[in-house]
Order: sequence, then structure tokens, then C-alpha cells
Amino acid sequence: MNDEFDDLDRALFALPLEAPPPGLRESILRATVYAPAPEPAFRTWEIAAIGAALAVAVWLGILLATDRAFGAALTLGALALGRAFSDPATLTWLSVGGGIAIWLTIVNSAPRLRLPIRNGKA
Amino acid sequence: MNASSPAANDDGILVATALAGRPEAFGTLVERYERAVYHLCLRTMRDPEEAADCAQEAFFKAFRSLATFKPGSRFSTWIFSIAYHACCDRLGRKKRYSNDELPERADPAPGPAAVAEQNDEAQLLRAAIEALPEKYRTVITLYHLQGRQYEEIAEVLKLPMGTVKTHLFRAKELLRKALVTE
Repeated sequence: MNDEFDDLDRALFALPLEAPPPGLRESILRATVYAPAPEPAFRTWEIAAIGAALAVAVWLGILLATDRAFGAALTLGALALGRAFSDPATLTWLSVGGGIAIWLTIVNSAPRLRLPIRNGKA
Repeated sequence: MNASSPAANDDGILVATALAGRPEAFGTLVERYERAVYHLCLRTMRDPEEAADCAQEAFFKAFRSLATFKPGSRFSTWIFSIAYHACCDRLGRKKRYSNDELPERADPAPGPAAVAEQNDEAQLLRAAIEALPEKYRTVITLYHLQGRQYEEIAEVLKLPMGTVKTHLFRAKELLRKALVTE
């Protein structure tokens, strides 16, 4: 196959490549090699603030977990909450409040009738 | 530009250098392959602006996925493959958003001045390549860029080697006919 097209091959390989438009290389380099580094998800002061807040939270957590009085208070609080929710009066008021909230949501989300605007005449 | 040239042998080293934190090494690869990639894109897209966009997109994609480049393989084949598929994607989008089928030749018919200019042998050959159907034009362009590296051409186009050889044979036949009748 090669011998058959020797002249054509010679002409083909001697054919100069198309010149790229001026500025293409610069544009490629700007988009790749010299592209500005992407913005970090958090800035240094944000990382420091989050770290400090987490450290304080961990410290407080350890402090409370190791305090026996806090454990007792937590148990009492949970029991009080359980008692409150098992009271029929509390449950009644909760269901009334929930029902009103649902009703108001339905009333406000109903589509409003919009009349077409006529020029001047009703 | 042939990938077997001595200049191409250290492409892998340049990739490794860029990956090791010296991205300016990629600049050397851009310098080395910019012209060839643009040439391939121009032959595929037949529009200088679109070709420049595709070439830029190809280098951008290559830079971002440099870590996926297999050491030992040819950078030229890799970048040509990325460029060719960027062109195909763009052509596919154009076809999807256009009601009409794309014309076989996007360029307008050459005027008298252009015809006079085409008397040059290189111009005639270039025009004959331009007039080839897309599948033959791409194969002949890669043959021009890669030399007789049929495996590399097959890899870029994701075609069996037999198909590449057949397309190349037909492309050369058409080119010869076109040049004889000129």
C-alpha cells in the first residue's frame, strides 16, 4: 500500500501544518499553567474560628459528661419532659395548635383568582 | 511532530515533572503540540475559531486529567485523542441544535483569487484533503501528524486497525484522483 502512494505520502508529509491563531498558546497557558489557584473552601480565620468553637464544644461536652450532678439533672429533665407529653391536656393543646397550623397553610396556599386587566373599561 | 522523534521521547518526563508540582513543564508540551492539535481540530471542525476553542479545551482537559496519563504511552496519541473527541462532542452538539444537516463542506466555494492561489501544489493538496468526507479526512490528518503509526491512529479514533487501514487507503485513492483531475 505504501509503495502505491509514495509520491502522495511525500507530498503529504511535506505539507506544513496550519498555523494556530496568534494568542492561542498564551490563552492555553493562562487557562492551565498560569491559572490562579482555586479559592480554598475556608479562609484561615474561618478555619481558626471553627476550630476554636469545636474545641470549646468538646471541652464543654467532656466537662458535662464527667459531672455527676449534670447526669442526674439530665435524667430528671428527661423524666419531666416524658411526663409532660403523657398529659392528655398537653396532647390536646398540641393537636389543636397543629390543626390550626395545617388549616392556615391550606388556606394561604390556595390559588388566587386573577382577573384580566382591561384598558380603562370594566 | 512524529511521536517517535527524539523530542517526543521526553514527553513522559515532562508530564511527570508537571505532576510533581512544576506545572510549567506542561507549557513545554503545549509549545510542542499546540500546532499539531490545532491542525487536527481545524481539519475536523473546518472553522478556525471553533478549532482554536477545541484546541484550548483539549489542553485544558489534558492538564486537569494529567494524572490519568499512562506512563510509557505517547503523549501525542493521548492529546490527539482528547482533541478529536472534543471536536466530535462539539460537532454532535451543533448537529443536535441545528434543524438542518451540516453541510459536507462548511467553507464557502473559493473565489477567483482563492482559485489562483490554489495553483500551488501544497494548496491543491490541502484543498483536496478539505474536500474528503469526514472519516477519511480525519484519518489522513492523523496519518500526516502521527506518521505510519496505524496503531496510534486506531487508538485516537477508537477504531479497529483494519478499518483505519481501509479508510486510509480510500482516502489516498480519493486524494490521488482529486490531484490528477486538477
